[in-house]
Amino acid sequence: MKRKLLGLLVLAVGGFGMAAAFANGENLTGVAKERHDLMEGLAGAIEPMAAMVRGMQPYDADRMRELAATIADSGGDALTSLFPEGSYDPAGHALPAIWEDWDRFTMLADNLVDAANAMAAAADNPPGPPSAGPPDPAAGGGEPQDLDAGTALIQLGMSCGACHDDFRKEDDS
Amino acid sequence: MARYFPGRRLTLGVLAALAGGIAAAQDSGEAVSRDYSGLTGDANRGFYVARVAGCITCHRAADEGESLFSGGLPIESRAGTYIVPNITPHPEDGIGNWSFEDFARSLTEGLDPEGRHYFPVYPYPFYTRLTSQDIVDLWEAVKSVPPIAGRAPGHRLRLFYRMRGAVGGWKNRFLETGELTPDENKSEQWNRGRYLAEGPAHCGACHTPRGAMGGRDLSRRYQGGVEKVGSNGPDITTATLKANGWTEGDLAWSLRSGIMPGGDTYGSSMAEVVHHGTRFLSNADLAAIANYFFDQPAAE
Repeated sequence: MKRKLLGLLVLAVGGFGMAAAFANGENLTGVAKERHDLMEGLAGAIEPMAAMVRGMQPYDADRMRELAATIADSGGDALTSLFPEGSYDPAGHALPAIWEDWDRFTMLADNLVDAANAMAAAADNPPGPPSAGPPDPAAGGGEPQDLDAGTALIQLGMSCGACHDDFRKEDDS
Repeated sequence: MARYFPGRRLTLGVLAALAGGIAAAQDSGEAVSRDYSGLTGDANRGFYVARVAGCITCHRAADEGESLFSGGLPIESRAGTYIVPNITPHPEDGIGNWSFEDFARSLTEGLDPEGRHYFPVYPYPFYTRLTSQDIVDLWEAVKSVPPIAGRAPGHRLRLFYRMRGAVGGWKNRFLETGELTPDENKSEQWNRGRYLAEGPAHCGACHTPRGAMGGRDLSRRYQGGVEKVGSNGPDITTATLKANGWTEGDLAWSLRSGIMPGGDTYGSSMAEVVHHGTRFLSNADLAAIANYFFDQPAAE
């Protein structure tokens, strides 16, 4: 009984340790570390874009375009090549579902490039106040003709979220 | 955008945890008396409520595409797999034969037209807070969509969780019906945010921990749900939001965009909540929700 309890304790402590390392990718190596860093890079590009769109920083169309280009360069093959078959690492956030539904994963990685390019194209249309958007029963619908940067960024964020929805392991609270 | 979020499946921490059905024989408490007379429904406003309330998020098809209110989406939980029903006006497969009273009672009391209990995966413990006007509006919206044939297959629940009759006992213990009373010491904005969060948006379904019986532990409101399959609803108490460096503006923006401070985005169920629901909300409503979460009342 005692041994069992000790075992549980060891597991629990180990679990905490793993969860802590999990959050910042510390004990990842090789390709798992590379893809972790790529994702960190994406977030690092989204953050200043969001700050500009929200009016927390002065809006700079050139910077928006540069950041969007960074994201476009990190999507598609650049992204999927960091997920070779057999590279599942339980210490990372990538779920095995990636390799079970590879077609969808690659589609979403390509969508990220499209969304980033649309973002770059919209960079010259600075956002007004973020649009409230009328209720839309048809959900989704067509892409607007003249995307403003705010809407384009939201769509870019949605493309991140679509992939995280299915393929990223969420940290516990 | 729809292609980014095909139906797939929703993994939620919903559990119709009916430990033993001890109180199965008991009745489900008194009926809610509401007066809907003099109210006129508006379908457009109803669709807005359907966004906030997640009707559109959950009552969709399991396959690609957006079949409004067709149902079929599997929802996985500790109890097994629930299949979301068809709520289009189709007379046999949907709710085309329902009266308004049937519809209102399902939302406010969790009963079907025959008086049988719904499993609380259908978040009626929150919808019971809906204003009568919102219910009337929702009804107009639900009636206005094209009927879609096709009945969802039955839920696939683990043995222990199949006892619909036991839900009555669960309701006696955990269901508090009726509208919220506004807190007069708080602003109109705060009260609107509280209404949205505690009512239609049912944030607590995932973000408030549940006890062994599957009832929310309101003494730990919004401290994080831990019963989920696949992902956890994190702690979103005022203290934790602030400790994590979030502002009201960050929260409102994240519900519009899915983008969190630091540039990361929501994943799992929350990505779907934003995609199908909160990104369609007005700025005023997002600000109200954020205002409420940054000034939460002390736990009960």
